[in-house]
Amino acid sequence: MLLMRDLSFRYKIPLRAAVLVVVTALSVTGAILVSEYDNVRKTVFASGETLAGVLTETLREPIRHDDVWRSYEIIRAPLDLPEAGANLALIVDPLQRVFVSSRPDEVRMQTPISVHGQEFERIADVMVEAERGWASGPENSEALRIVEADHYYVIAPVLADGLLLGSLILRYPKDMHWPRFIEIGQRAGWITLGVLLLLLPLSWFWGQRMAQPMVDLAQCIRKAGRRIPEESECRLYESEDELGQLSRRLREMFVSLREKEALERQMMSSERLAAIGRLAAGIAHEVNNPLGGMLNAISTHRRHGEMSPRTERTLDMLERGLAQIRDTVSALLVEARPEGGLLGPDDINDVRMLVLPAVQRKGANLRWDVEIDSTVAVPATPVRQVLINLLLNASQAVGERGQLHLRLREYAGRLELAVGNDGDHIPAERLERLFEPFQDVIDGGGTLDGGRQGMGLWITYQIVRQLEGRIDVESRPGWTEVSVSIPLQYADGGTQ
Amino acid sequence: MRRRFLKQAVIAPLALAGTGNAAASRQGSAPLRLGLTPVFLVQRARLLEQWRGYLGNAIGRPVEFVLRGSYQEITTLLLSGRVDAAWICEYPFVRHDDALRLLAAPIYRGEPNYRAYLIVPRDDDTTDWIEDLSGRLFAFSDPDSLSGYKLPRYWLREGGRDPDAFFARSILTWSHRNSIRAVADRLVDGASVDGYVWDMLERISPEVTARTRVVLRSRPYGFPPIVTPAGLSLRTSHRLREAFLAMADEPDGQLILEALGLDGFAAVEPSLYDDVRAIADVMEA
Repeated sequence: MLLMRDLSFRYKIPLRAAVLVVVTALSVTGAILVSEYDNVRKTVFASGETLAGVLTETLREPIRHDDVWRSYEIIRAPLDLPEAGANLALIVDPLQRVFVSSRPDEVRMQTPISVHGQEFERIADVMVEAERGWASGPENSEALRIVEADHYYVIAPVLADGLLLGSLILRYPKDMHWPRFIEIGQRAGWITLGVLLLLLPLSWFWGQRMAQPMVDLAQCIRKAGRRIPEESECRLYESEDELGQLSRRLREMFVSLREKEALERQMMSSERLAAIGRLAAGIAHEVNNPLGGMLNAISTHRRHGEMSPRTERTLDMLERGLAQIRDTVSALLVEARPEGGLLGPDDINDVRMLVLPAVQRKGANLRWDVEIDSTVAVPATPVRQVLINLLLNASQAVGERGQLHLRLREYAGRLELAVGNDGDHIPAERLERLFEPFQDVIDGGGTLDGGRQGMGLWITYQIVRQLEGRIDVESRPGWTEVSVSIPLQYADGGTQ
Repeated sequence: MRRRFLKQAVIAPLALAGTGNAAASRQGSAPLRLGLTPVFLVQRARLLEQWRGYLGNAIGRPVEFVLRGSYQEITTLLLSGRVDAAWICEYPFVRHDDALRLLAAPIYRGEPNYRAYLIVPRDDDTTDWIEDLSGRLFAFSDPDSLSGYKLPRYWLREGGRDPDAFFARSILTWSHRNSIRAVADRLVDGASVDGYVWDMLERISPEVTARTRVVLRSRPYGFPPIVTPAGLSLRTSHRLREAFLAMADEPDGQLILEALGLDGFAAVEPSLYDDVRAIADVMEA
């Protein structure tokens, strides 16, 4: 039974259907057998009474003449027929002794009937009563029907002018049912087998159909043990039944789990970036103070001291090195100063002019999708820098004769911009650390931002953050798009 | 079905009577009526029909067989002249030999005699003699039969027994053949029958006789004879006797004799039945 419980629904459902068919067949056959049993019994009694009626009429004279032989011939004749059914006929005198029987070797004449087994003992008792009734008048000549353990009995009186001459007993074996029962049973068996042969493939098919969504659901849930499966990995059943509802809930659960996972990743990444930012700013401040001192010292020395050409070269070298350190540190310490005016169409055209040569070098096509025809309330300088950085990155990434796309518009109190290209997409593991500084150097790949040693996206990120905006990257094979959303700034300096 | 059956039943005797009448008108005389008793296997209708035709041709006059349920009925018909001849048991013959004329007797196994057989069911291997059947069930054939009734009772009387009280129950079967069946079916424990009938039945239905055992074969008695009423014309009587006696010489007659299991018919003297007469005297005393 445990085995049955562990079985897949794929097998359980057809098996149950088969059991159902067998149970139905058995109960129908049982009902037929019961009614057949009843019918045979009724038929036995009806034909027994008919036969008894004829025989008692014919027997009247021979019994009156005490003619055993003729009586014997009369009761033997119908019982010798193969379809007779009865296996014994007896004539019993009013003293319940055998006058003659159709099987004298079994039931001898002159013997009391009660010596011939328990059934006849009981019949003898019943007959005492019945004989009294038969003798009471010609209207009471009803035959008796008796059911005993192994036989049916029909007992009819032989009456002559109201006088009871004797009784005729016909005995029918109960097992005469058996051939008919076996025949019905066999026929029912064949029909059941036929129905099973017909229904099993059908129920198999139904079982498979019913079980498949459950099997799919189970497989999908099993996958979720390791990670949240993608929408395309799970074949879930769509309907309004319980299974459909379950599938929908599961899908909804997966969607929210995926969202939660993405959010967590994003939070981790922005926390990391913030930490890096804080670290970088700290280092930059610490480095900048001695650096300023060192540069001042060099400058003072240059102004007041005499220098040999050799010292001159050494100081030049020191100054260039320190200047490079300052540049790098100031790049780390991005500051989007809201200097200058707000972003206007001219600024955007300038950006276009600046990036066009890089685009043309690749022979790429730039789609300029700008829906701005007046000043937008965002600071022009940092936004210009963001645009230039992203466009230059994109023109680096785009393939020969590829597609570049800029979309820029004002929407719902924000400036929305997106830069896309059809170059090689960025693999997921790189995507997570895309905005961290020196990424190109760490990855060992070429620089994406025109020689600034992987600082372009870091700077862009820092600027967007300082403008209280949001930056996202979406990269799939054939298309990579960076989208930025910056809230508009108003006269009071706050954001909406 | 029943209607058709009734119709046939009605037509059959008419047809028989019709042929009889045709023969009668051709011969210009009424049919000769010959009574038969179950001293042989009267159930063999085809054989009887052949025999009837044969005898009719032989005497130049149609023959009609008359069958009745008991010896008594045939004897009565014979004595009152309503049959012209009959094949009867020798016991009624010796009882009425003053009114009857002995015509011929069958020759069976070379002599005009037969024996009575005392039979019991096959599985009874203890009974040796009729007195072993005391308090048992016994079948008699016909109260006028020598072998089937008078002889066993004679045996009992000779043994000092009362034949009416000796058996627990005795039944009448009205023919030797039925008595043999009654023993074979174990309806009764014993019976005395005409040995010739038992032999014939063994030839025709061996499965019946096989269920019986012959305990005793009696001494020979004169075979049941063909008799006529004393009043029958001598001419007819003579022609009939000649017809019987000639059967053994005619091919058709031989076929019938062969089927009857007899060698032929012969003229016999009434003294052949003296032994029977002696028994009758004892039994009627």
